[in-house]
Amino acid sequence: MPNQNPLTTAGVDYDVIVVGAGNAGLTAAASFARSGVKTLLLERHNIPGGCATSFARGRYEFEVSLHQLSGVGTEDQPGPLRQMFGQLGILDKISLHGESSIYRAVIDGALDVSIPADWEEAQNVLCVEFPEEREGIRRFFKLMDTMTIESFGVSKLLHSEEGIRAAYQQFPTFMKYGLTSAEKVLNEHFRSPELKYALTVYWGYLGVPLHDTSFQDLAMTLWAYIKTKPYYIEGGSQALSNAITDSFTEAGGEIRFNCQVEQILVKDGQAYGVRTEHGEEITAKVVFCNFSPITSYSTLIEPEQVPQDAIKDLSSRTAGVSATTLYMGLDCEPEDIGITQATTMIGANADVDEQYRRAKTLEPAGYVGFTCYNFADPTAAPKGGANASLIALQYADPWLKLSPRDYAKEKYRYADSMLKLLEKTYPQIRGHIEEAEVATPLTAMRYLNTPRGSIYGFDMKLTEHRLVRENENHIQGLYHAGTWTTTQGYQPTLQAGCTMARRILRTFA
Amino acid sequence: MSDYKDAIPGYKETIERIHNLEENNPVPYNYWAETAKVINEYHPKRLQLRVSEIIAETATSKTLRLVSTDGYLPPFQAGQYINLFVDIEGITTSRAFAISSSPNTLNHYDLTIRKIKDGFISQYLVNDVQVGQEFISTGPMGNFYYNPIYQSKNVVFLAGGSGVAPAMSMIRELVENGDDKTITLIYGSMNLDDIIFKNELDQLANEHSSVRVEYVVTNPPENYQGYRGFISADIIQDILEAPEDNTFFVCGPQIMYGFAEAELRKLNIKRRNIKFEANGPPSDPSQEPGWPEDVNKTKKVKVTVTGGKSFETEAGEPLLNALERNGIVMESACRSGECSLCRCKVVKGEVFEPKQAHVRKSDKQYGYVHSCVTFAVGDIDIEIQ
Ligand SMILES: Cc1cc2nc3c(=O)[nH]c(=O)nc-3n(C[C@H](O)[C@H](O)[C@H](O)COP(=O)(O)OP(=O)(O)OC[C@H]3O[C@@H](n4cnc5c(N)ncnc54)[C@H](O)[C@@H]3O)c2cc1C
Ligand code: FES
Repeated sequence: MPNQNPLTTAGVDYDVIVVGAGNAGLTAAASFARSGVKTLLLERHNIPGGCATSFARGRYEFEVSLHQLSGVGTEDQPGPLRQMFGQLGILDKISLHGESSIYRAVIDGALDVSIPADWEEAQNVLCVEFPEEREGIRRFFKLMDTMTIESFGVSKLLHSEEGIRAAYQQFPTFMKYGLTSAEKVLNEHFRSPELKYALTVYWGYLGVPLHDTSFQDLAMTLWAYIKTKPYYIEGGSQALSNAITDSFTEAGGEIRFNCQVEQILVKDGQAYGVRTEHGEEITAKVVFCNFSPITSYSTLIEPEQVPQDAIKDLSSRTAGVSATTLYMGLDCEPEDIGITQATTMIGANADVDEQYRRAKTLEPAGYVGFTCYNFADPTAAPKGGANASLIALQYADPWLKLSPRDYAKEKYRYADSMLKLLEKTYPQIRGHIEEAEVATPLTAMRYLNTPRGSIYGFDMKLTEHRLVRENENHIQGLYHAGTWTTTQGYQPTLQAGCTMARRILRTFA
Repeated sequence: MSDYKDAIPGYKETIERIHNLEENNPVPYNYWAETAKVINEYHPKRLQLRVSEIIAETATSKTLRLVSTDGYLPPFQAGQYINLFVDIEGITTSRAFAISSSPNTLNHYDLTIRKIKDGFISQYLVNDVQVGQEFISTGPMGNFYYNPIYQSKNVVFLAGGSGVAPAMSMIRELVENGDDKTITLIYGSMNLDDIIFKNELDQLANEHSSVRVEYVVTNPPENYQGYRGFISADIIQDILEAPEDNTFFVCGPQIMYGFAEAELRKLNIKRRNIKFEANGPPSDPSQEPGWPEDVNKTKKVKVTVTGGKSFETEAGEPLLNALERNGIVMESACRSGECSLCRCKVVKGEVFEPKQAHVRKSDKQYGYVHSCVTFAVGDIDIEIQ
């Protein structure tokens, strides 16, 4: 139940304006409204969700971006996300389905292994597949476990010298490996390139090559999916976005679609509202942005109001990877063509650096992730059909160089290369496509207005690690949360909105 | 600086890297401008158009040649449409029209429009529009186009009336690009003199082996040698050697769709090989499966917009049209239930939505509808967010 309003609204239109109804914007807005704070949510698109949306083609509804949700956990052992859904009052509005395996990892002719979503079983499967590396496998899993648990514990210590000094003693694994690359740790444990690949196909969820990924990020990603199982939501991410929106409006929150914010109003170092594309000025005590701070500081705030610190901080960070996705409605059941689980990660070879290099070009894709939604959502496709998507990481850069006239042709050519890689594992798939749609980094730019169509925020290189960077507030009353302020993906962004909102609510009290 | 962190392996190197980056890129890049440019080049929200030429096609149809007032038209795929905004009799409304010119020609878009008996907008566009007149439209949209990833290189177009417009765009593109596709156009018309583009089609079919054109005429003169009646399974079978090896695109008046679908089914054409163009709201929703039997389409119903006005309409009128007639303009494009731009929320009361409404599953759960194909069968309250 909404509490009493802890703020007085005298002089301003709203207590909080949340700009952007993506994952973090939605959870923040719902958190504010449910605490009795007068909240306005503005979204430029005509539907909530940002990336977390879907669109219909023929008999199919295509999931734009959700592949596997981490952090849900079971009803008996709820993970952080399930707990948060409870707090937001949406658990009875959505229907969650868990998977029993995290993925099938494939390199044509060299690797084909399914990793169970169970900590012990996952190790057993790998030990059977790579018996000579048993010992390394056990050690690696132990290290991932310690790393993850220490990462949760260390958070509150990282903001002061005193804390850091304590952390050396209390969280030695985190301190030792936090700024160590995943590649280095893998090489310390394993010889087989295929084994390393089997444990790193999630590099696509991280978006940078392994020599520039913190071991911590790899460890926490695998840990989260294996321990809390990958989940999916019936009706896809749109069902989640709609549920949070509903919870927000139920609590008295106001929402406006088709309403792009074109200026953040700042005076004397204090944000006091926004101006919309319709020329309207709306004031508030807090402006909460669900988009990149680059957008705010480079464009939406008048230059003379932008602190130099903000500019300096941003200049060392680069917009991260986007993706090209082929959405497919199939006219057969998945099993008819050999698909037996939701997620298949496919590499042309075991060379992640080469796969990453290709993500910056329009050369044939070297790495694709395939999701068949039927397994996690029984309602995902019409009877007798299948709903699937195929994704390749891609930077916007080569797409930006195309002439608009050549775009459609290039888009199909590129998607064709992705499909060819998939056909090595599921050879009959092409002949069963009934509906198909391709989205490129330019599509993400169009629908999300995000720098370079980035789907993960800044490139999550070692230079983004918590040990070397803190997200600071440069302007009073102005906050950012989303993929640009945290690690990428659903769980982190959904949590980031809630966490930041709670922090702000404390300053109100 | 903060040397208490120096003992962290990798710390010094990483800080060094950050400083180097800061020095090399002193100012963050203006991504907003870059994105705005992409949107303007590919998917501008609105186009400002001027009629540069009007070409009489048949007694009932004309081609409006539209140029951009600022000189730039975005690319499109043959088969796509633009949604043209029209102000008539004090009402702002819009209608979608397929582009009949080639995607290679981006100095103008041609819209080929046939007037529909009692049609509100088509009558106006064919009868009253003058050269020099200006219009606003959306950018090109729609999913009715060829996808080389999975569709057969042998394309068959089943067109009726002005449904030939997207086929024309595809045929023009094919002959210009010299692709390895073939297009067979099977084109149905009521009368011989209703056939649009007849001369150009005959000429293209003559000159290019990749193009074939067959006419089917419903009411031909007695001595007519060609196909008669409607585009039936028999006629298709007679024209095509192996119908199942083709991708079929169907575009024409609504009554043609159910018929064409049944005929293609007789020929065992798989669903994946058939594409239907969006085609407006059902002209008589009470004939659609699921329409409540006890409701007459002329029944008066009251629509109340939360925080806005209330007005009366008839059960058989699409909600979007009723809103527009009452001065409430919503985003819209396809007006056929596909694009979701006209999404709004029904908070109270009963509505009817035909099968063509492609509403997201979770939108249904919360009462969201596509207003262009939603019919109030009783009094309703809606929310436009
Ligand atoms: C983050 C994200 C969000 C998305 N949200 C949506 C969504 O809300 N609704 C949705 O339908 N799809 C959505 N998609 C999917 C996307 O629309 C398809 O993948 C898209 O059709 C490919 O777009 P494109 O930019 O490559 O356009 P194109 O290849 O040019 O066109 C293909 C599609 O865009 C539309 N279209 C094509 N040309 C134009 C044009 N010139 N002007 C306007 N529209 C055109 C057509 O309707 C068609 O669907 C989303 C994708 C992503 C990555
Ligand atoms: S206008 Fe496209 S769905 Fe209504």
